[in-house]
Amino acid sequence: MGATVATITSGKGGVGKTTTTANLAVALAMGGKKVVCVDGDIGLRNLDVVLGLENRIVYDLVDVVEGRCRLRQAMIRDKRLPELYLIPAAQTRDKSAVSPSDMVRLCDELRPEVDWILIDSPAGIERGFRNAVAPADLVVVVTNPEVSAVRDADRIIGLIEAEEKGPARLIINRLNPALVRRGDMLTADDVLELLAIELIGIVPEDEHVITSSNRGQPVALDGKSRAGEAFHNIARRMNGEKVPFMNLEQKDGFFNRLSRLMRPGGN
Amino acid sequence: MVNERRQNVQIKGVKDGLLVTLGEGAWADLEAALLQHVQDRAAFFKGARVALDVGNHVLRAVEMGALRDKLSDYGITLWAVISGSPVTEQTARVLGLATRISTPRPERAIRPIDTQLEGENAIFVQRTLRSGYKVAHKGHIIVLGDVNPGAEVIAGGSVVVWGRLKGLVHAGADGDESAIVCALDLEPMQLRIAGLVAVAPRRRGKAEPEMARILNGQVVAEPWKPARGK
Amino acid sequence: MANWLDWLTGQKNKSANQAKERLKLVLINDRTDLSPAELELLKNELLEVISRHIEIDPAAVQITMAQEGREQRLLADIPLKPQMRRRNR
Repeated sequence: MGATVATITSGKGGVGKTTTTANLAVALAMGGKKVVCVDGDIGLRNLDVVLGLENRIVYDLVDVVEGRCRLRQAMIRDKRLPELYLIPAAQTRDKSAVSPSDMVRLCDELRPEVDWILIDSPAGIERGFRNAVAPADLVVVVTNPEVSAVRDADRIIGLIEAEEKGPARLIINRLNPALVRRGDMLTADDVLELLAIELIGIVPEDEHVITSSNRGQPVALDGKSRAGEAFHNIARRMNGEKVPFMNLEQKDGFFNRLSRLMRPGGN
Repeated sequence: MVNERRQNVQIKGVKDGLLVTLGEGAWADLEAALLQHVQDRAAFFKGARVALDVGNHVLRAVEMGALRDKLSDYGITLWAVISGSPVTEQTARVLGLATRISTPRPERAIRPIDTQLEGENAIFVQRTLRSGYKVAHKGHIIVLGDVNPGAEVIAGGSVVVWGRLKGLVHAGADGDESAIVCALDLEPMQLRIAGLVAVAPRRRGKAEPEMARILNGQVVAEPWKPARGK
Repeated sequence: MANWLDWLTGQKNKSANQAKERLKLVLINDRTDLSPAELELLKNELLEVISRHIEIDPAAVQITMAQEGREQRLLADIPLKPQMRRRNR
């Protein structure tokens, strides 16, 4: 059937792209899918450490692109799950080591073998971002309910639409229900109204994300946390299931549009 | 074939890297010529920072993004796209590319002509006027080139544009209602003769040379036929 | 009634509402490359240019900026008579 390539990007750094990529990969794999995730950063490694696979790196993306190893040799298999692999980033200073065509070729080689290829895009709109988006069938934009994150997400969405590299789907990450109730955080509705693209998930602020990252155990492995549950829901929606959005506590008041959040999700 | 390429793709070293200037023609041909050029000199171009001057070409994001990625494949970093088209400029901005380079803009070559014709004098502007340029003269103004949207031509006399007139034009600026405006393609953002202002209605059909003048208190544009004239 | 209005004003002063209003303007600026000042200037200039062609009642002219999904729209509702006619022979 062939894999779907999803690039996870955001514009702004620090909104949770890498955490999202790692956890979606885990959630998809836990659901029985074959998943490869690719760290699209150039010069900095992040995905490996969030997944807890940092000790097992032998070859990386640049080694593959430059022919120093075969693709399979660079794929680190996650022993916790049946079919989850990571291709780590290179720690090279050469920004032009990887090109958009390289990424497309790499994904084409992987497509017949797996169900999902997740690419963790670096922040910004420069070369690393362009490399990451080049092979994408689907672009997942991660944002936080916060002014500069939303602004940068809008920029990215505009770029993706202008270049017809879509479709783009939104994940609102680190929503804090207590702050929302106090009127001190944008609601998911607010963000959706501004960005106006289709939502595939809302991930609540959850301290388990940090503790699990500390341990190198993505939070989705533990079914009990709210964030973990959210990632699993998103994975299910990515596979075409209609999953209702979680009931995170909402702002009080007449104008709260519950309907948008309670509507079943899915593609 | 080699000659064509040389015409279409010109390379110059500038302070911030390379400036590649593309000529006229269909975008697909130009892009192919450029990529061929790069491919032939791959070692020279690898790692280069390139600013691309696309002239008046109107480029969509898909086209510009695709070219940027293809240049990336050769190790070229496209960092700026320079153009006379506001649409192309906006596209470049959306893509995070610069639209100006530090090379100073060429001097506006307004050469007054030492010709007196029945007591009238005219200046001859031999260039396309890009957005932001303004030419003002108390006699006639003749432009050999386009007048782009955002450019202004203000004349005490008449204005003749041997090209596309898409900017602002004011003929008879001192009040002379007998002044005329001629252009091969008359689509001005705003046209004034003496004290009257007009905005061109949307064109139907192909562009043809036209002359605008005041007739019965109104600005009227007529197709230019050689036999016509004051 | 007064309590409800107070509550409404109170809501508007909450930081999240301010964030939302600010973002609306910021996104218009980013998407269209027009700052709020330039937008005002645009509207005024439009009105001025129009009034040079025809007698208008400024109150009848409506110029608004609207967001439709991901698009910004400048909506101008202007009754027009073209002043320049093309005479085709």
